[in-house]
Amino acid sequence: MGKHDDFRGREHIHEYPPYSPQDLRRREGSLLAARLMVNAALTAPFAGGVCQVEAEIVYGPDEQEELARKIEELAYTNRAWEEMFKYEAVMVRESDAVIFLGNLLAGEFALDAGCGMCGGRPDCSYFYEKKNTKYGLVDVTDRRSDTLIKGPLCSARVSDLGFAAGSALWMASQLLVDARPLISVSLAGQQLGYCRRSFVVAGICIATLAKNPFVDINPDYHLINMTKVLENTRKQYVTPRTVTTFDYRKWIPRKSEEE
Amino acid sequence: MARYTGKEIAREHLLDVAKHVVHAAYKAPQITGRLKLQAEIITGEDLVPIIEGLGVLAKVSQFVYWDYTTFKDFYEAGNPPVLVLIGAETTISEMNWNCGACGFATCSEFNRYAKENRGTGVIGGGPCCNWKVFDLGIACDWACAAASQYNVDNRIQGSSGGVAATLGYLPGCSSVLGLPLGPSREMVWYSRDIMHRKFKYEDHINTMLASIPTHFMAFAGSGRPVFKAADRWWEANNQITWGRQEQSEEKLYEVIMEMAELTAKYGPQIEARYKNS
Repeated sequence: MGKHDDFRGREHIHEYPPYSPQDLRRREGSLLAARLMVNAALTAPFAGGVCQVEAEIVYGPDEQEELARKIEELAYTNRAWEEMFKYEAVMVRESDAVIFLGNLLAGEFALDAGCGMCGGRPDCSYFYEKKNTKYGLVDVTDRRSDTLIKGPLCSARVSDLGFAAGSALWMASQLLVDARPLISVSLAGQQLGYCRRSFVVAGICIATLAKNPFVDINPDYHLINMTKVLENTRKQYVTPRTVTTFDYRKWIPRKSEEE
Repeated sequence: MARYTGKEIAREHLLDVAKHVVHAAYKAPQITGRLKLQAEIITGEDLVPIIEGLGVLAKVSQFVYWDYTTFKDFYEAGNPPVLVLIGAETTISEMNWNCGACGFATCSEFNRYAKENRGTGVIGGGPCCNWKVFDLGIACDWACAAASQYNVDNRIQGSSGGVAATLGYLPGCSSVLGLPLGPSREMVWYSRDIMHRKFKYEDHINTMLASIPTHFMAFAGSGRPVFKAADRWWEANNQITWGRQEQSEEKLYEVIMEMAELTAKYGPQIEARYKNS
């Protein structure tokens, strides 16, 4: 028998229940999209055409839970973040995958073109004066930092990371895959060591669900969302059953007129 | 019934594509959701001041020379590109994320410093909030991608954007990038045949020799490795030296003065347009 004589199959695909075989098949498609998004990011226009972006694709309930918890941890470290980050932690749990794009050069190898963006000067002095340097080489071995990102960064490189994220998001848009860049995901992902060699990381959540999980968010989203609603149903429904009990084999209650 | 000449209709179409491009830039996703983006489309003779400005900068920068020549030659041939300008104010952070990317511990410290130390470099103004710069990058990328979707040759440029900003276009933007679209032909901004015969063989090779010297170095054991800048390099015995080049510093000063003159010439009429609109 030739190897293609058996070429047939049926693939049932549906988003519910989460992580069922039919949902996993759907998620495989999202992963293909994620990979194409990463490829698109790598072809984005960069200053001088220089390769400087690495990527990591993260998916699976454990990985996403870890990321969501890191975001929730960060939520309580900055008043400006609290609400937003708690909401975005829910989005991370509901995503199919998370893409991280990191810039490998932004903290060590500046563009050195005097573009002016980092410090408003016609040279790169703002960047180099705040770094530990010798002969224009940045010593990056001291990675201690009081802030989540160890600045300053070469803003031209950060701009290029924006171009990379833009191409990934454009690809998502072309594929009709819902995608959103989130600051919470970016900072938490970098803290967790995704795109480990990068100085700044951008996180993009993607999903292929009936409802885009990144828009039309209700207030108190961390308390009221699809997962919580379903969990509450699971918690509540069985209890009244145990209260009004009977033996269905012998008698089933009817409306009074039918008796 | 009407007949349309391909060349003319394709040229007109560039303006339609420019509109799509501008729309895409505004529609681009943002991580801050707070970027105040501005865009503008420059066509025809309005390109002249920008081309002249590129001509001034071209005297001290080879990559600007390429862009200058490409703009100028296509314009003079009656087949100019359409230039989209995209810019934003990126020197302030209202987010209070305190992420540290700018080099300050908090956004308010950064904002205070940025207000007092505002200045410009070769391409843009600063100091910048890096997440605003990131968002501007996404917007510019979406602009490029939109042009690409319509198969229009394009290249995102600090050169044309920087010159336009210097002349007064997109007031209130700290960073402006230029995105020329077309003209409609196979290769415009990449593998530029318009550059043919503009440089001699030696110019091309000297650029490579001067830009990536370690690739051309002989055995380093002597402590003073020979620079292989000739076929019989062991006879030429070239070595690299460094130091200030007064000549190029003087030239840079001349260029700055010339740009100031150009801004004085065109600035008022460009400024007036924003007052009227």
